[in-house]
Amino acid sequence: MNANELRTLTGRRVVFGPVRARDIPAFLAAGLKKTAAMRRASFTLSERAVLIPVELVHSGPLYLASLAVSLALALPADPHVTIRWFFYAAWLSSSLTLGAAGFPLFLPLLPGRFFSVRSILPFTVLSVIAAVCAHLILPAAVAIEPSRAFLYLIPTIAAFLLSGAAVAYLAMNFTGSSTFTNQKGVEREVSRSLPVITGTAAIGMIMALVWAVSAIATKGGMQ
Amino acid sequence: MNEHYPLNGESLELDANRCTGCGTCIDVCPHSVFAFAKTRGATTSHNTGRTACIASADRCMACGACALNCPAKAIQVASGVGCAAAVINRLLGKSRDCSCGDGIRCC
Repeated sequence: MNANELRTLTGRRVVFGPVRARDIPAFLAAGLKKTAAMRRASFTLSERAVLIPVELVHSGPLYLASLAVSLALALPADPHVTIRWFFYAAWLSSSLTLGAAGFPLFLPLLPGRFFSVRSILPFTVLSVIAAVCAHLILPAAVAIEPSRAFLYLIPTIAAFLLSGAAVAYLAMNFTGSSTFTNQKGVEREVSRSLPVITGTAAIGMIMALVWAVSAIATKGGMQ
Repeated sequence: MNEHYPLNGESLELDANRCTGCGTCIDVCPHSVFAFAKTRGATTSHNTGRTACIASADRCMACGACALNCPAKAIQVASGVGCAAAVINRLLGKSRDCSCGDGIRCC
């Protein structure tokens, strides 16, 4: 709001109130005097938490895409395809939830300055959990001889790359919600991080595509 | 708490010679970036005896409220929509600022 313009147009004096509307009663009661806390924009845990539903809604198309990609990663269509689909879908959707909901909650505690860089720590934690789950789940869900089991590293690495790209992108996009980022900084972050994120996602998608085409072309012949 | 972000305050400029010391920038800034400098007595052109200064540039999020409301036009800052989606849309030449719905003025 341009107070000078408003003053010119209306002839009225403009008083700048507190940052938060809930402080207005106290501001009025104090004779239009602001405390230091009333002047400062904060970004508390609860203020970040209320933004999570919006972040999740914006991520909706990515959740749908993750279901399709996980199905591609879960091929070939043998009797174990369902459990593999569940595993990859759980991994990718957890990544999206981490970026859209987990990242805002832990933002001030994460090391780094660029938001995409700050996403590395939670992504690493998720990847370790996913690796443990892969070790526990995948061997039982891969009905091929042990000598060829290494082939399932391809969809697992693809999921790892896509997971990282998803978390980093959603974290980077949270710059628009924060109260301490600036446009020039975001432009620099986008220019430096976006090529890495899109490159990682592209490699992951190509691996998923090659895996799916190969599995379909051989009609389950990975076995 | 890690609330630092690259380039915060880098585009912020305050022309002390134009500043009248009215304190509007201090009043509107949501991050207490500005403060009054030491009294300059009658040396200020508008004789308020004080002038504003940038006390904590690294806290500036370039919201632009100071530049918009400075009656002396003594402040310049590059403000704008600062979410990554908006920046990417601009790079792609799209007209919409960000991914918020049509008709919504966000940020």
